[in-house]
Amino acid sequence: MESLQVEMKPLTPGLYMILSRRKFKKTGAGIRLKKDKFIPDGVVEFLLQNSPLAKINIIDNDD
Amino acid sequence: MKSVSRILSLRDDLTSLHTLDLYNRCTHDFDFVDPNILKSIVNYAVSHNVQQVQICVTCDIQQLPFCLFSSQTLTSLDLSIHHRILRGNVLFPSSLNLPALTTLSLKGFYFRSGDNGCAEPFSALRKLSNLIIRHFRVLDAQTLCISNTTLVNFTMETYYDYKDICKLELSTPSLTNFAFTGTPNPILSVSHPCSITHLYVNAEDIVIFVKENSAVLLSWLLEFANIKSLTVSSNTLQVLRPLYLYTAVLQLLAFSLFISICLHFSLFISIFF
Repeated sequence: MESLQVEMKPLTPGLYMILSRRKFKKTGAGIRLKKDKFIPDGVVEFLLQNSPLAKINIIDNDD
Repeated sequence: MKSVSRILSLRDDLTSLHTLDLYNRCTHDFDFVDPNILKSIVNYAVSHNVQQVQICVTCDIQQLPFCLFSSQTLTSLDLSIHHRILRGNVLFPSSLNLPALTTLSLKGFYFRSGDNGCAEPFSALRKLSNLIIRHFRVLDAQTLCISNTTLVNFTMETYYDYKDICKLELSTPSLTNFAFTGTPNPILSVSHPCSITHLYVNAEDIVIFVKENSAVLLSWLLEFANIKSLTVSSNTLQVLRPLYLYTAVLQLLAFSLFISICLHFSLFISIFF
């Protein structure tokens, strides 16, 4: 792979629910996850493990 | 109906009609078109050698006039038909005769299955280059086969609500760009060698089956192992996260096993040698 583009998008309602629940289980507290755009740790590196020279481009249309 | 007939009758009948654009930017409640009016407009356009058709309306129609799918002059067809009660209940014909068509965009259609048990609606389009299908269903089949020798760009949008499609087969030797938006749950099968160089995946409508979607996405990435460019949304990366964690645990276990084997091996060496 020569390039990887990541389009930043707000969490969908379903993903927001799943991540909120996961956060609640982990911390035991009712911490509410911000409805935000973010890249989970390690997944980009996981995708590029066989393409270490690939260019990474983050696209955020709100910028 | 009378006013439509009057407008059409006032037009110079000998002049070809290049473009038909039947579009209302209002909400669905205000863009309803009577099925008979839609049929008469389509019939008129096709009989006057129309080349580009864009129809985006709400209409309680089961099937569009077949002449639209046997036009010899049509190069671009964009159909988005909403039903007032049901979604996606307009039947797409199983046989097409559109020799000049290069661009096809469909939203809200039923594709029929053929004798082989899978729906293969686009194989007869000999010049098709761009295909967009959104919010579709397949009748009496669980496999949708996109089989076309000239197709270059394919965009697909399907959500969990439309999950009756279990398998998507791509038999498209010229396809270079594949874009997917929606719930990544259909199993993908690509005929090899795969010509696709750019893949776009925007995972949406993920509710409870995130682990299953994650596994399906991995199988997609394995199918497209030789792509040059990958574009994913940040939500797609969220879907892939369980898979990443799973492989990280596997790698950790494998590393632990390796260390354990090394320790046992060194102990074995020290005892017997």
